[in-house]
Amino acid sequence: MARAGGGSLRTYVLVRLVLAVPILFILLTTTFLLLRVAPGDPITATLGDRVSDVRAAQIRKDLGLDRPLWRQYISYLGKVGQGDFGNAITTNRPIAKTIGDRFPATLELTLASMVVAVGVGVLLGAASARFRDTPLDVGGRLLGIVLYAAPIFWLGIMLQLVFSIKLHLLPTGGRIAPFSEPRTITHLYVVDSILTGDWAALGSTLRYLTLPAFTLGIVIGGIFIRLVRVNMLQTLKSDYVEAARARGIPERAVVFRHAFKNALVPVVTIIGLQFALLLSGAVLTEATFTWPGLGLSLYQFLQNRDYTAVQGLVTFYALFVVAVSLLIDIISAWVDPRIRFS
Amino acid sequence: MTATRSSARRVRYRNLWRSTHPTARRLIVIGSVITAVFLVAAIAASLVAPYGQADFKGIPQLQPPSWSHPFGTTNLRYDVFSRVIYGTRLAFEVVALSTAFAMGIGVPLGLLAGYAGRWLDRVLVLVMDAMYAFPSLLLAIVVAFALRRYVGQGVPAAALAISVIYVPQYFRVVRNHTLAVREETFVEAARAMGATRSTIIRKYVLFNVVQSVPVIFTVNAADAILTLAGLGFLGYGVRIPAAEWGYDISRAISDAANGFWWTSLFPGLAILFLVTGLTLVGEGINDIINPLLRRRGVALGTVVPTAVGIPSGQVETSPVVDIPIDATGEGGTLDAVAAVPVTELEPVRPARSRRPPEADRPPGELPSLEVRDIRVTYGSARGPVVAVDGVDLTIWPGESVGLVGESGCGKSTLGRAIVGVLPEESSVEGRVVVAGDDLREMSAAELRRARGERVALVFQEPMTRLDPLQRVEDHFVETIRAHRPEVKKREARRMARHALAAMRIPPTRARNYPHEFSGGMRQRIMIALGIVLDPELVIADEPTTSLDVIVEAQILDLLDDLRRRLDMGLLLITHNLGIVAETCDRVAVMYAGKIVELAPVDVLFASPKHPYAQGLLASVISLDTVKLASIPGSPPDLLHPPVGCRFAERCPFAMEVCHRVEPVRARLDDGGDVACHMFPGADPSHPGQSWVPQGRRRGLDDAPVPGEPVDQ
Ligand SMILES: Nc1ncnc2c1ncn2[C@@H]1O[C@H](COP(=O)(O)OP(=O)(O)OP(=O)(O)O)[C@@H](O)[C@H]1O
Ligand code: SF4
Ligand SMILES: [Mg+2]
Repeated sequence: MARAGGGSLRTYVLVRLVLAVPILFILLTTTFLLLRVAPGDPITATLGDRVSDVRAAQIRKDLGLDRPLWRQYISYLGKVGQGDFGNAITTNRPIAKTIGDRFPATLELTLASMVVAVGVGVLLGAASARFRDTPLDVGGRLLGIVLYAAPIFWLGIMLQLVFSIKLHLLPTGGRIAPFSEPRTITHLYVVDSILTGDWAALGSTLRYLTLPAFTLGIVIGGIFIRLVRVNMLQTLKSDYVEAARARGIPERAVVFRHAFKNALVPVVTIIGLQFALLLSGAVLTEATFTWPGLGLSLYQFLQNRDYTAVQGLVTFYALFVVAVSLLIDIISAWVDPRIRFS
Repeated sequence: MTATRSSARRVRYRNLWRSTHPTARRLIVIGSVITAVFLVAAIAASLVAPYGQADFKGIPQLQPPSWSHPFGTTNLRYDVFSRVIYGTRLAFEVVALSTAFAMGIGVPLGLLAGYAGRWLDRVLVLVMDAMYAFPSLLLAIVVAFALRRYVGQGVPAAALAISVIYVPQYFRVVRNHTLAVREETFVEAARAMGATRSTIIRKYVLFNVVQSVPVIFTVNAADAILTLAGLGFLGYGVRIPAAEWGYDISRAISDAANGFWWTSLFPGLAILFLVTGLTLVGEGINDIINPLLRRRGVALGTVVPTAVGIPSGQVETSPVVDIPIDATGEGGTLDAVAAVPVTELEPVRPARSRRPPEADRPPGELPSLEVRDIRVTYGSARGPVVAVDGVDLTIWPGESVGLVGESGCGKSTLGRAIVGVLPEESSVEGRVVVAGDDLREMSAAELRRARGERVALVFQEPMTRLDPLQRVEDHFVETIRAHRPEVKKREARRMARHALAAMRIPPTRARNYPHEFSGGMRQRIMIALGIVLDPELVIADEPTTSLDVIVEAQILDLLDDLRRRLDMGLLLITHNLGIVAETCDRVAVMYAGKIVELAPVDVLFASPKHPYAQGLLASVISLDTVKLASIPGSPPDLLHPPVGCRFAERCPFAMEVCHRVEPVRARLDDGGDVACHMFPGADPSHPGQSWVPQGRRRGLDDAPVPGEPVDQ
């Protein structure tokens, strides 16, 4: 058993990194098998009759698709290792470049949604638990279920109907008004416009960001309501909360300092678990709001049946998911020293 | 035979249903009704829907809802209502088929992994974990996209794509059950009796899997429908023009932009309602089944660890050297205690000198605790349980009273009632007076202030009583400032260190977190927290039961010294008569919610009066834990307490009067109180009378022995 101390976090990180390797390997292999092997020849599957046989053979040769499968597999893994995700057949652009262009938008959307989700979920979940079995609790629980039950794209359309089409308050799609992009530093418009003091850009960004982030955020927030509520019900019943009450700690302090704080510890892990859901949701949200992120690219490549492009994007998603779960685990271990012991 | 078993199961389910919270029940009913409505609509789609799913002849374009088209029409001249109905049918088809696929793939793989074990298990678990970690909609899309060449875009293709998401769940359940069964001894036994492997698997694993299917099914059905809609929205659902909600909504985006709201609203609402209904049912089933499973787990003999091990690297210390001696001598009483080195503490306790009974107290002194006729009732599912029934008890400053009795007799309930920390579904009557102030007449705010400041409660289980996220020191600061807001943080910290030092916890460790301490140290911290505000009364509810003997002795010694030095009353609840003999002044013996005997320690141990107290003492073999099984029989059901003496059924001297008149506690010449008809004063209507049992001691099931009244 490890002793508490500076070294144990490093050990934990190392162990966790080693454990991530097989998962990553499985995801990459599955992606390769599903998208490269299963459809047969990607050129025919993608372009069909739109090109001549000669041209198709040429493209096949250019992309290395005429080599034996195992060589393609080795080269796929090697290229992924170098950050090369292949080229799209339909546009002939490197997928890595698409990712570079589009990923910041997705990141901005998911982060903003996470803020909404955590805000809504933590507040309503904690209130539900605190006022257990009151109408507030029943309302909170129902809201949690109903929000989760709402298809994201439909919720987006409904919000567009109300706020864009009826009330003309917010735009239906896009990321920022044309020609008002801030000078790029991080590629996150909110951050960049604040850093450069470009308040017009900030206003425009926020107007475009509000609906998609809210749509995605409250759907994920539905899950947080339920999870925070359950956690907090548990901590409210815990021995240390009872002991605090027996010491005459005022109820407010008992609820906030003890029950609430402890209920939030698992939320870090939950955020990590919900991240996968957030990425799926982002694809639907981006397609609904024509938000120029990775999800919209995926949607477009799916429509065009571009197998190599989809393969490249899915590979990137796999890397990203593994990286996020790694990060979340490390953060949890850092926040809660007890985790490092087991 | 099967009939009785199924009726037994029905009874069990009915009881389960009744014991579920009304809100939860209501939610399940609502969910079931919603789901049932959709199911009927799906089955009878061709009857319910006025048009076929792809009918457009004679239907006007983009009409808002009207009588003839209740949900309006689309720009392809479809009737939205009919599309929604057929969409329901499609959704159920896909869900059913995807569940079948998921089970078809997940169950065999789970059996394989669980039974084969070793590397195959590891690999499969890893693969399933990877699948589970991946965004589910993306996974479904990838599968649908990759396989479109083979399976086209029909219902099977969509179902297969969706099933891939749920395979890991079936896999996990089956694998875990198989593993569990493999390790259970009854499987070994079954094997020894000639059952083949496949029989065992079929009987136990599949039985368990079948039980978990409804939960997995309902929870997944909701997700499956959402995923199907997502696939349809992205153009990878089923082949058009089949009605599919997600696809229909994707077609309706351009309508919405032009203000035609109905084409998107209704399919979305259908998803919303059906998924909500399914989730309500799924969660409800989960809520009901989970506690059941947990209960069953305990019944199987889960061992609850009693002794708390000391984590490696943490040793119980008696840190004499670490205690700062308060040279200036300023500060309260606690400081003085903390300042005394351990070596000097030892001889302070006179070997067996006991505090005098209440007659010898200085005039005008108020008792630390005076409990009068206290009664605690729990509202349980079976009815009201009177766990403490008319208890009187007085504790003087500096006095230690032991409270003993069989498990379930109400000791903890009494302790909690005094401090006022009972569960919500309970009620208390009677008076609890602490140094002249009746806690029961206080407002909630006053009572809150009295807790911790005037009475402290130390719980049995120290491991979980400290907030894991709070430093030990902060527990003190919080407690002190909750009662004395005027105390500065610095001062509060100083008080904390002194209280800790009094309990022999090195003040250098005040800034550590609870998990860095062993059980014994945590309990000393809890006691330090209890005494830091110098309360008039400390109630310690089996403070050392979960600790080992050496640690127990240390803690009891410290507690004993503290109550003398701080002049606090101490109510020590315990099972251990040895502890009582060694550290208490008086003992209260409790039975079935009542104190049946209360006497100075020497008196009780020399000559126990109440037959139950005699039984208890007789069953002490050494100073070890009491073996209560040596008193035949078991305590009465507090739901229906017997008339007369509650011990009568087990008492070897029980007479007719004992079943008729309830004995009350009366004082005897030797300073003890006892509630038994064999002693005078037990029957208030005949104060001088006592009864003498005639003949032989009775056995457990014998009739009452004859009795003869004696008047004094
Ligand atoms: N929350 C509750 N709801 C209903 N009944 C309860 C509750 N808590 C305790 N009881 C019942 O009250 C009676 C007294 O319980 P209590 O915990 O006070 O006994 P105890 O003497 O402390 O036992 P132990 O020695 O096992 O700690 C028991 O019969 C128990 O079943
Ligand atoms: S009252 Fe009767 S039954 Fe009860 S303890 Fe005394 S003799 Fe036994
Ligand atoms: Mg108890």
